Amino acid sequence: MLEAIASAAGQLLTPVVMGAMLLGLPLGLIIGLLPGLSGITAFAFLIPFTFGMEPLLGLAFLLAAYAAVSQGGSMTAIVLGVPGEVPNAATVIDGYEMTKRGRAGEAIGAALMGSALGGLFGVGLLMILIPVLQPIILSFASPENFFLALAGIAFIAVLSSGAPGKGLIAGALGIFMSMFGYSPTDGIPRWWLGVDYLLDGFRLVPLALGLFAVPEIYALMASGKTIARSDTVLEPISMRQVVRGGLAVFRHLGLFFRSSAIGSVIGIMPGVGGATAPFVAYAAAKQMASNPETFGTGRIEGVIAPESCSNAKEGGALVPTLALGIPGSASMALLLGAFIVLGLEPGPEFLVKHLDLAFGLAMVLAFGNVASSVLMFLLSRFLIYITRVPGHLLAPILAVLIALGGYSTETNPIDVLFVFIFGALGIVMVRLGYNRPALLLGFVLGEIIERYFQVSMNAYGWTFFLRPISITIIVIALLLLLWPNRKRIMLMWRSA
Amino acid sequence: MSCKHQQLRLDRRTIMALGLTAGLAAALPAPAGAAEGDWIKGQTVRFVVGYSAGGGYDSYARFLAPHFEKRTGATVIVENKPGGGGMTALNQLVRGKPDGLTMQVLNGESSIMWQLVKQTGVAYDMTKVSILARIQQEPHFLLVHPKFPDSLKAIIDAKTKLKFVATRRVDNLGDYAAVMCEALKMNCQIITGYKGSKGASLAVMNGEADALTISESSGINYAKGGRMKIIATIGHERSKLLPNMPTIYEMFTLTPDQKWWFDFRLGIKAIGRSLVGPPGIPADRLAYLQKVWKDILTDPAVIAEGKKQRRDFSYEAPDKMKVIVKDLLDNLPADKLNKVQEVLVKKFSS
Repeated sequence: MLEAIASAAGQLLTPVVMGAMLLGLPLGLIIGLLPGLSGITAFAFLIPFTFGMEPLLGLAFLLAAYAAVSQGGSMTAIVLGVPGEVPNAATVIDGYEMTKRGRAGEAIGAALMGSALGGLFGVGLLMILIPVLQPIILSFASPENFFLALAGIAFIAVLSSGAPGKGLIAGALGIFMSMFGYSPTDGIPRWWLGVDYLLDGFRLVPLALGLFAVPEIYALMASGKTIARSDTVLEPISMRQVVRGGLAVFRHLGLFFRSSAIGSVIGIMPGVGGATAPFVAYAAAKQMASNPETFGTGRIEGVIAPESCSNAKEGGALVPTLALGIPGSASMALLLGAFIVLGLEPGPEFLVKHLDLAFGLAMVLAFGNVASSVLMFLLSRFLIYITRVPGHLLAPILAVLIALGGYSTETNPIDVLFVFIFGALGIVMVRLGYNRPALLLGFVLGEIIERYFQVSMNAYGWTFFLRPISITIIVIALLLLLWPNRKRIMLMWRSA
Repeated sequence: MSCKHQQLRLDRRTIMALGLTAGLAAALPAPAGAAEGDWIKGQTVRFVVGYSAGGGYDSYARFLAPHFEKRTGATVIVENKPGGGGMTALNQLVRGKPDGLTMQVLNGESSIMWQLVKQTGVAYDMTKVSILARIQQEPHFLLVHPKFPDSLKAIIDAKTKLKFVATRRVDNLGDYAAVMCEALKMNCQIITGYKGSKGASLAVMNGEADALTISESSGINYAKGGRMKIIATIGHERSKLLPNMPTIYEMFTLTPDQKWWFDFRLGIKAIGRSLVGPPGIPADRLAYLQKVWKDILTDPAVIAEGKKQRRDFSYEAPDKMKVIVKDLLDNLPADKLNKVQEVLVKKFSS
């Protein structure tokens, strides 16, 4: 194994491979900064450029770009309240609030450091697990996916602990919206109203962009003010803010490790949507924090948790991709295509024949995470300036960007229409105090729960509840949910 | 000589020269295809793909685009129109202008299956689309978890219940399983709901399910490492990649009814991954496009280039495909059609 690691390092540290990575990084950042474009877009756009390249060169280029996309996406989430990718919607909750309070630099620093270290965590875990990858992945089956998704639903209540009734209604609405289109188990479309577009139901990217970005753009247009509130004394723009935010990760190491672990585990499981991981990490952070009711008002933990989780998840998603040829995420499905075009075959034999390449890819991902954070760090001052631009100038630009983002996912103009329809829904929800992340979580998890419940029942019958890993997931989820009330529960236990 | 006379002489010379040039030009043979391909030269042609960028169909479209451009002088744009598993793009294609400038890289098998089982949302008629060529088709394999015997005959004789996996009932996984279970009177359950063929194969690898019917290239990949094993070829001929694996036809002495089921499903497989255009393309343009695609898909250089990128080609002529489609969709007796719909959609469900 050490020889493979050394061989990988030797192959990576060549001018050509390093050059390919450095070329991929800014491309990934640009794609990430554009709302709605994701790692999938990066791969789809960049894979054709790798035709004819040596495998490590092509993959280094792609993975470096991919690692950078997430960094770009979290920047727009913090600075503009517009999630660059769907998972960045969790960062908007507290990240954008920090920006409004003139603490954009701190939020950016925390996000960059959390992402970089979270990415390293995910990659480190990948490298440790490489020798034992297959048995780990194969021990997770449909019941585990179901219980993980169910635990995610329980976190909806946590996300909206200030107004649990409204949170549950929002979550229920999200689950209801997930039922439009093809049923996940029998392929019969539901409530498609005879419109081809609705055969596949509502789309996640327009929903995320509409729910989170449009209300903020509307608020900017209505007020005409800057994102950073000018009624408070704003700190002069400086890198000191960014450094302060970065160092905050080290003051919350427990939070960081917990969030990264959540991301890695969810990333390893191919069936559970990667979009849920940052929300679960956010909810867990809220549960374990003192004064959880202040989450959503600009808590730095609300940025560290989703960002470290998001990047750790990608290292996890590489695990089943390499070990079994089963993509751990939609982006990995495209990467798998790149592997094949480059003459490689991820799967059971890959780790035997190309162990050094596997380690090499892990190192590329690590480098990409760190290097893109550094690159973004250098650009962060410019980003903070954006928060001081008057709203009536910024809002139209953002509106165009999210329209482009909505269109670019499937090049379907109806997606743009739905960005604004969901935007209207988002505005109403903000007005009436309903929890938007709860709706998004319900939407993502609803389909997963329905799918894996049916499959588990058909494959195992009712005994699917009794699988050891499933029971473990239930216990951990219950512990996390009951944690804030642990003292009261212990008192009741003792008195009984 | 007067000026006027000179002018007349010049005019006559000019006229004679022009006449000589015209005569020479008429006598020379015209460059091949110059007239027949003129309508497409310089035009923008759209290759529609009913799936997102980066997938198999998309990569075939992007691989073939430059070859089409070179032969026709057109500019090709690959348009991804995901939705409905590819159905939405086909629904839109058949409503489009039949000018020969838009064609789709189609999952022909699924398109026929959906029409046969009257899948909700189908708004096309495969008997009317303009078939340009088949790009590729490959045999299917039956894979099982290693705990089962190597012999399909032994599994059937033991009346062991096999849990097959699929994403939906009609998805090139579930329908093969249904046909096999019906034809061989197997003790089967088809579990649908897995996310993609990879999610389905993972379920067999981890022991949640027992068996999977899948295309040759994927099957060989999944069988590596011993987490699944191939025990039969579902095809009329053995796979070139696994020539030692016998076909269903070799393993069993099939009754006429059993043979009908396999012939029926393999008849649909013959459509494979194909190129189609909207109904009503003018005959001359259609003939030209079919000729171009034949040239491309049978060109040894293109085939060799595709092989380097792990893309296989198995061209089939559109005339033959049209006959197959008509047989499947128009000439199936009503009682057989009802039986097909019942087996493919309902039977063997949990």
